[in-house]
Amino acid sequence: MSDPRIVEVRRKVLKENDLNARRLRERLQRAGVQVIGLVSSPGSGKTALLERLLTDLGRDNRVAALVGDLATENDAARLARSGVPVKQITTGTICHLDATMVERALEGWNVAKLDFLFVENVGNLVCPSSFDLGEDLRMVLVSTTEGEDKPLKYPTIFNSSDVAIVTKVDLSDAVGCDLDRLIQNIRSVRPEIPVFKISTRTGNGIEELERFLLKRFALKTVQAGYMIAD
Amino acid sequence: MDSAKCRLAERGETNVEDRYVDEVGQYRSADLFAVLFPWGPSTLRQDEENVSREMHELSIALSIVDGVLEELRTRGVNRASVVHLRVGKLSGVDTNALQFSYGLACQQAVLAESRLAIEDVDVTVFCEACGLERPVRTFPILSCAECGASSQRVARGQELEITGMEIVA
Repeated sequence: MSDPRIVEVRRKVLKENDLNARRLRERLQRAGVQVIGLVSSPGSGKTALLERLLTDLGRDNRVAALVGDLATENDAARLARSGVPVKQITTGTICHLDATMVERALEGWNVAKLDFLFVENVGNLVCPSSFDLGEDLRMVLVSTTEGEDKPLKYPTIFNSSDVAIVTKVDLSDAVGCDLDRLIQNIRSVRPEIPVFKISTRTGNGIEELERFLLKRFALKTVQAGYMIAD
Repeated sequence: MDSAKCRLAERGETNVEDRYVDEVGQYRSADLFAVLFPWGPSTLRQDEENVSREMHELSIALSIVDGVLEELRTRGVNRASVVHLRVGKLSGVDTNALQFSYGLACQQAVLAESRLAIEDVDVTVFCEACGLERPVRTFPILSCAECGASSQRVARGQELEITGMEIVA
């Protein structure tokens, strides 16, 4: 047997997902849909925030959500109360969403009738960071109960996000969270990232975040009461 | 973790547990789960963070195997003995978990005898103040090792790419 020969390759490992994500992003952009991803560890408050965003933004905009979990349809059931279309993606044993899962979940929906699509990832600060879902904006959430050094421990997810949201600020005193230090840590791994401090319990900071999202995407106000199922 | 199931997930199959039955046609998914994890899902959950982490690298390992097989096909080659990989420190991939997962991922493929040679890539940023690409002072804090200015322009450290293969003719 001859000696091994080395051949040079230049290939991104997640090439297929990147291509799928790009195709999805282009398709949704053509349809005029803004896609916003939410990532965080389990229990940081992604679903609680989404409940608010879907209800509030859904008044004047056509909004829908996909929500990923390993198991159960609980979150979809919770979010469906906001009255907007919601679909659960149960990943079985997989710890993150990928672009194909999002694409499949959109089957049967006429995305052209949407302005905003929220995609709530599986609660996990590690795995989702590598997988582009075709989002236009990725928001990472971190709650005051998690400790100020979360961004330093999981830098990749913070670095790959466009907006950071500190949740449960109403609890910061009770749990002894130094908010300034937490924000400083977020910005040390992702300099200049916009940071919002919110509490879904008290409603603090939610309006500011919504104004930011609306301004960022300059959404047209449209008639409420629509159907997106084909 | 068996790779048939991972493949399904890799293809974006949701509800993998259910679909696994059709693909394999031998077990009901619940039975299979019970065989694989006799102590039940509740024990798994206690170790969720570790399990998740490993599964993430498993997904990536499966993508490596697919990528290498495609590269081999286009070159008309049957087998690779070593796969060279570049992994940035900011890629979110744990190289130990990836090595372990690669062993599982390539079991049935023609890559069964192959190994991964991983080159770690440290993080560098483009420092506006220095006007140069610089290493960072303390990972993962993105500030220039020379002048200390923070920078949001990551130059290196996000790589996750196949850079070469050692092939046996």
